[in-house]
Amino acid sequence: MRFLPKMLLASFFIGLFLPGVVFSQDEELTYERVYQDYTYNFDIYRKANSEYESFRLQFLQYKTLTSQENAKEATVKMLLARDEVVKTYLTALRTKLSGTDGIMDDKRNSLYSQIDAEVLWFADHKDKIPSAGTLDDLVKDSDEAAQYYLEKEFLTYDTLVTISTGKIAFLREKQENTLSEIKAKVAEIRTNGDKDTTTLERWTLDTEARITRSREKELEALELLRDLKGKQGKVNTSIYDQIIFKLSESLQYLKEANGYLKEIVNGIKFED
Amino acid sequence: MEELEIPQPNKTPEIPQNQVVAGSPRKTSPLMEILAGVKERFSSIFSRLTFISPGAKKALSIAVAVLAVLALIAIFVPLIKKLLQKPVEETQEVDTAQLTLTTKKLSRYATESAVLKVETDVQNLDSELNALEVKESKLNPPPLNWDVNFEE
Repeated sequence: MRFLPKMLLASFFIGLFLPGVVFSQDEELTYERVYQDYTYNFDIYRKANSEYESFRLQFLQYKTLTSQENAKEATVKMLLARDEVVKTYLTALRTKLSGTDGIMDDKRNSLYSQIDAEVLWFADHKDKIPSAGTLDDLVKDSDEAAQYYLEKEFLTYDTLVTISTGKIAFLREKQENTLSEIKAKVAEIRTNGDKDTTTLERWTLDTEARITRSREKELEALELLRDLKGKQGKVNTSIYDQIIFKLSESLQYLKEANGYLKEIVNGIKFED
Repeated sequence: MEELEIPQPNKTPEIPQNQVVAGSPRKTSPLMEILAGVKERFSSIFSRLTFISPGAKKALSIAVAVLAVLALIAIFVPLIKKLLQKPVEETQEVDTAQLTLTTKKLSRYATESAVLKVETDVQNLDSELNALEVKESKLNPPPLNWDVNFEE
């Protein structure tokens, strides 16, 4: 009895971190392997969906018991494959997220927990499908998954935007560190007084301005994220395209800034 | 004493009048023939222009001749120049920025490890920036059939 509080405490922590434990194994897998798993399952789904469409038409045409049974079997197969595609897709997305630097821990953990919850939901849903007795039961099962997927569609796009933003933010951070080193070197040269640093100092300011513009574009993109969720929770994909465009502009400013950095380094390396 | 005839080498033999002397006919060059023809044509044109005084006619003919010569020069000089010109050797394109840099003298900071490190960092960053794909196109949401029904 005296171990009971300790056991309860331990089980509480195990329960708290269970989704994390489940995915820690997945994190060991490379993104490529997980992605291959997703594309493989999507291929299975495509065939299953094609069969479902075919048997559905046969059932609607003949209305026989055989055609009904065939339609039911094909629908079960398709729904199982569809749930598996969603699961493997989300796993690929999660793996990509975990392999991307430049993402704030809070944001990353929030997305992890939401993705994990969605994967678990679809795993449970998949287990339920074979128990459906009739075609109507299967339609209900499908509608339930459709509604849940629609509700969580924003999560998918939020994760995609976070990955894109993270990639750019990571390189910008590296660039800022390099710029700091360059500025320190220019300051040292100025102190030594053996080289005119006026131009180099002006160029560092120009580089900083480009990095600032990059950050501004990223903020503009993130502001658009609010509009991504349209009416009835459906994602507005044109807004997603706009976000990607803004992020591309942000990246372009970083490329320009890097060109400036190259010139500054050359300015340091050579006499006036 | 017989008088000796002293030969006069420079004295040309006298040709009696109306005597036809055999010899090669005087040849006129085709260019001269053309010029003579042109001159003849011009003089026939000028002779018709009775309202112009002879002095003005002369000035006009000189001006026409000068213009003709200038036109010929304008046509032939570039042609001759082009013919005489040697084929230009193809020069390799040179990165002017690089040229400027290489002709410049290296500063004492050029070999510093800190500067070299920063240079490598910038180069690596350049590769990373160019390789970055903003959109995760491979991870677009899968197109799935969510409309399952058995209604006609």
